[in-house]
Amino acid sequence: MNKNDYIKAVENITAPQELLDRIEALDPPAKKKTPLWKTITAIAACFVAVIIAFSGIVGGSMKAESEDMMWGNGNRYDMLADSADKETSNESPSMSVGTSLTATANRKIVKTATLTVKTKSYEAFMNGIMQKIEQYGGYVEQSQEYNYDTASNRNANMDVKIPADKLEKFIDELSTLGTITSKIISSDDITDSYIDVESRINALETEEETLLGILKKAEKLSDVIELQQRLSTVRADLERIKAQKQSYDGMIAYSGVTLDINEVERVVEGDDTFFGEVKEKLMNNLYDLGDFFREFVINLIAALPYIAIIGVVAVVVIVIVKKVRKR
Amino acid sequence: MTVFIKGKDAFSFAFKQFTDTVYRVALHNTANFADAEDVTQEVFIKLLEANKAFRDSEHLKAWLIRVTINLCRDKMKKSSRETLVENVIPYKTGEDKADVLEAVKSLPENYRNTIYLHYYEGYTAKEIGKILDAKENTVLSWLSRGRDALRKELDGGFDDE
Repeated sequence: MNKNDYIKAVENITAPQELLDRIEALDPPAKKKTPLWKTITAIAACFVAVIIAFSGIVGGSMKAESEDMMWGNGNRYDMLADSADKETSNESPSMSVGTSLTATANRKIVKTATLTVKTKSYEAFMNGIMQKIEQYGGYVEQSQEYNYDTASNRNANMDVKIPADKLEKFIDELSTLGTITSKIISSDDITDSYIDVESRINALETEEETLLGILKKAEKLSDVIELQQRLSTVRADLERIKAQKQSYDGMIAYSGVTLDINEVERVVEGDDTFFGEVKEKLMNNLYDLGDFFREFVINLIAALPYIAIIGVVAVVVIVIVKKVRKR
Repeated sequence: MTVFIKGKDAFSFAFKQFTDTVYRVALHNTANFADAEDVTQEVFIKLLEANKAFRDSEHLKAWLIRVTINLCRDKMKKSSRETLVENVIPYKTGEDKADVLEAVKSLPENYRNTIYLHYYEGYTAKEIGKILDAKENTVLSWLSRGRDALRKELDGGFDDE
């Protein structure tokens, strides 16, 4: 058994036809039309260039072009987003389904937050977050860490409890420690259930007292036994309901925060040295510039019909103007 | 910087050239064929959504491999959260060849990907480092440790030359 066997084994793996069909059937996302303003910008630039050239001011066209370049810049395809390669998990842009907490003090609100955080310095982040949890009087309910062999690719899932009134502050602090890529805060109003539990406790307590009262007066043994049986069921119910209330209290006082912490690697082709970084940034920018010019030329060509018409109009106008002046 | 592949062109090029590569990487990093197929499809969806421009086919290929590994990771993470199964479940294909594949698959993630990228795809340690975001030396040590592990597992070892 050697590497050739492995190569052969891998060679034998081919994507099944059914999968190929599925992929082939994928629809490309609706092609974005070149925005109208881009076309207009290109036309305007050419128009200005034509007019200025006709007026005999050389170099004006250069100016118009560079101006367009600046406008175009804002919308060009961003190659610097190479680091996005790394973040393939389904992060939605910051999403917040918060309910405005206008509730009065008596409303029983359970707040929970689910956060996805990315950090470049995992250790510092984990230390920082532990500190913050302690500082805000919270605690970690459970925590799992995964380590994908490398130090640069760790992941942790944590369930944390934070005093409800400090939840927002805690999340703010988190955003200073790492980058929050998704945030869902939800509020659940459990007032009705809570009141229900409270009234059941009252009812059961009253029943317990009454039973105790009767028990004291009871004389027949069979009565005593029956009463005690009844009493023990009432007490068991009461315990259960009280535990429920306690758990509600806990949920109200402490907000559950579910954290998904991901360590993100450095930008690809990461060369740690100063010149390495310079080189990488420079390459990216050159690449961008190339891409921009390409887009520019495409838009320019696309706008040719307009330019032709405008050019003809401009020529006619200028000829007329000159003739009028001669007279 | 000279050649650009983008959008639909990138998609059809990748589909023709690299579907098997993606599928193979996915198989190395998931528990079963079904997951590997799902990931392969997701990779191509990602490619469409990203609508990214690639310098050349190597750039595209490296991107695809990287995305595949990341998606597999997400998938395994999710399924391990749900079922707490072993990270990799060996699967039987009924072929003798599956043994060596299984042995490679049982290695830690970076080892098996390095083994695959080096021995099958023929990438150098430096190139693998770029794809897996690691230093060249780290890749070399993954490679030799992976090889050592395979030598123990397989008769006759897994020698370089």
